[in-house]
Amino acid sequence: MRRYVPLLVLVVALGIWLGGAGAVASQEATPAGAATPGASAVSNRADLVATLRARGLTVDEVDRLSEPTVPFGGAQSGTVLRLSGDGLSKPAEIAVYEYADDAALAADAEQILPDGSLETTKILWIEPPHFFESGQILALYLGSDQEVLDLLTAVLGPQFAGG
Amino acid sequence: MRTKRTRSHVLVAAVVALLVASAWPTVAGANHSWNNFHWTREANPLIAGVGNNLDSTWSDFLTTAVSDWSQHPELVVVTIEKGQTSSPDCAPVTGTIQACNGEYGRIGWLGLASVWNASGHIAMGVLQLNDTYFNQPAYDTPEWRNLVMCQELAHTFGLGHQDENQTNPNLGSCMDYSDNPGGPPTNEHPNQHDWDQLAEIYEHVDSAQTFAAVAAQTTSLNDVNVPATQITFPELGGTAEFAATGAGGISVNTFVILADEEILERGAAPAATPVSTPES
Repeated sequence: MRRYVPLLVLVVALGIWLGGAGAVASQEATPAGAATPGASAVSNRADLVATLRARGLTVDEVDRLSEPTVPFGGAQSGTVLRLSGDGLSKPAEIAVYEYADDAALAADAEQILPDGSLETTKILWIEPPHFFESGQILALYLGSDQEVLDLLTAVLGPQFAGG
Repeated sequence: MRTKRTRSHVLVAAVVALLVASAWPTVAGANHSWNNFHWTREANPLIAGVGNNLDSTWSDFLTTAVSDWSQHPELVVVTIEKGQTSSPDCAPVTGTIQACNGEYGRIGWLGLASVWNASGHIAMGVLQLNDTYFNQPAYDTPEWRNLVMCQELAHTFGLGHQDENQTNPNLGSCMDYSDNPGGPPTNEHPNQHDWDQLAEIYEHVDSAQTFAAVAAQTTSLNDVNVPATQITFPELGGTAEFAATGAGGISVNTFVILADEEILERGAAPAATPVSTPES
């Protein structure tokens, strides 16, 4: 019987490993827009800007996207915000898309797969994309700065798609 | 005793097999077909005309990419055709690939490729290049332009990415994400892995065709004086207009497909069976 102990250990380890992988997968499948405990309810762009400023950040509008395109083609407007200051080692930009109604927002959000890709469109992003949803907005951060990701998660809830 | 030993060997083998199987999906570039999307053809090669709606800053790069993807003419023959849509909007045109550029804004993407499918087969495709970034020194380089043009064009054939990590070493393919496309090795052109994948995607043939159907049709109108001829494609909800424009007859680049307005408006795939060769 003793000779089987290493094998049993291996099997148990494999089970734990596979179980862990499943847990990671289920974390990645967090429903869109689910807020983290303590995350404020941001319903639109003005709310977002106010919330970020209330946290001590400097928020500047650096570009307006008059005709939002894929994957935000249903948005009413798009704005690029530059964030800097308190809590960020270096400035970052996020694009914020505001929607006139829930259906248009859902239509755009649903086409974005959990890994940030789209079913029938291939997009070459300048940096890894991270998609967030809250109220009437979808927000996109391109980059890998953990400070920015933590900030956006705190304000908007966990990303619903992206790397 | 012997049976017990055999059982333990089987168990060990099963565990090893499980470990190998679980590690398999992490092998980079094992398969980079894009959802097995492909154009229908009754025979190879795939004859793919790319509608040129680009401005002059992109002409050389389109030429390079078309040349790159024509290195295996037994598989794919790519040609540059007259544009049938307009930049920057780039409305799709049934049965074609259209290439466009424009200042789409600081929206985060350098380029994109979209395909519309009918019954699992590509019915039309577009590629778009974002000059908001290519007008900036960081991206206004032959290396970046070659990579993006090469990659987006290949997406419209059904090829996906070999690797999506921008910071790891280049694989020597334009289907590899990179923050330094010049390399070495350079990521400006296809590599053998891309050709292997394309060969796999297009290994089979279909009972109908899209691009090639039009080419076959036009060759039967081998008269420069023939008036424009319209042929209806009920499966695609559109009409093709064939017009003679030069000596020697009709060529692929002279056809204009008037796609179903509803399809274009909703931007969805035509709810149709694969394109069948029309009878004239």
